[in-house]
Amino acid sequence: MLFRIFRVSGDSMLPTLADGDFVLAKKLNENYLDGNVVIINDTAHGFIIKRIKELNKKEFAAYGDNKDSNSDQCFGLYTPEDLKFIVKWKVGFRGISKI
Amino acid sequence: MTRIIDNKYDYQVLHMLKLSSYIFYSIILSIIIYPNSALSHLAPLVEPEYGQQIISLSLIIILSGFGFCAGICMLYMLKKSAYLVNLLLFSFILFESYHHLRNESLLLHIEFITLSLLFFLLTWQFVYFLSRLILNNRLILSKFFYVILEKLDIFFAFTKVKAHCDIPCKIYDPHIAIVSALTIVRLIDIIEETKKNNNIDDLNLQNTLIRCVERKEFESEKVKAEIRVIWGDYFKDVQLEAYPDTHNIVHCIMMLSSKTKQTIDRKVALELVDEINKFASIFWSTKDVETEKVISPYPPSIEIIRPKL
Repeated sequence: MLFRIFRVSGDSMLPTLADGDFVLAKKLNENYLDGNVVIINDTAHGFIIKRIKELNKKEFAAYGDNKDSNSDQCFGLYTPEDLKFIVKWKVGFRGISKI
Repeated sequence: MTRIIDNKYDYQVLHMLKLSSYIFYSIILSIIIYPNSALSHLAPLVEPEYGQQIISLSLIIILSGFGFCAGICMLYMLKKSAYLVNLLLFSFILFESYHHLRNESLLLHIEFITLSLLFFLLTWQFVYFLSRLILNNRLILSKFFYVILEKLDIFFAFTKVKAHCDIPCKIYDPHIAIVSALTIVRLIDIIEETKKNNNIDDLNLQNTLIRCVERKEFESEKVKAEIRVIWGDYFKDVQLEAYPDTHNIVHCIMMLSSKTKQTIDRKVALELVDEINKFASIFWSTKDVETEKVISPYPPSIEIIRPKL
């Protein structure tokens, strides 16, 4: 499926995404742009939503927008295969906006 | 008028009045045009002598399209595009009306131009009305989408993406668990002291016993929670590979914490402190922080591990 709807659970992406927000995400099969919000298939945590930092072409660090979020060291590094979706739109209680 | 548009509600009233006036004008225009003999052609061709329709459905769609485009261009302040659309529209109307003038009467020609412009303006105004409606109610509309998605979530159960964090993050310390374990030992000591008292039936002593047991339950659960968070959130493959005993130690802590709830055996509580000390030692080693063994400077005065800072 090219587009999928996910529901955010948790506050680590505040103020961009709040707990309970819906996101419309597009399947990631394009260039991985540094600083995008993506959905990662983490082996330990399942699907997680984070902003990515491109370290090099094969490694990405994930971090939350919330300053109190887990550090990227806590989550470790990800390969391009782990990045599954790129978040395009959000539907929150306060409105709809592009990410 | 100044008084009328004092607040947002009055603005809405004003808009409604404006819209009503458009509808009113349209009705008046229809009343003027409809009884006209030439306009009887508007009806589908029932009898051949009545001729053709003035304006067909396809023409209405084309004119509405022009109106829609013009409305959008004006909304986005695209002046050149708006001029172009208007120019195209007038060329189109003139071309069509010229055919009417050539083939039919002058009256039909005027009626065609009037009706074309009416449809065009109505669509244009409808775009404005729609945009105003969306802009004025965008908050309600966005909430509406959110509510719809919430309802759909009940049936389709959208996949949850985790955005969890521990607050405050990066602050992990097994010392809280050590303090809780020491508290358990101390509470068991207090229970033992109370038990030795001859006047055990005294309500005050019973009250102390109950409070101690209740607190012991709480501290045991706290030990479990603190260790579980560090083990689950902080320890990753790298740390676990370096310290493969971690899983066993954590499991042992969980078992002993449960046992301290069930019994008032001091030995069990001391074992719990020992295991947490082992866990603390591993934890600080993963951070390359040196540790030391010290006797707690408060009762029950037993050995604990703390970082050398």
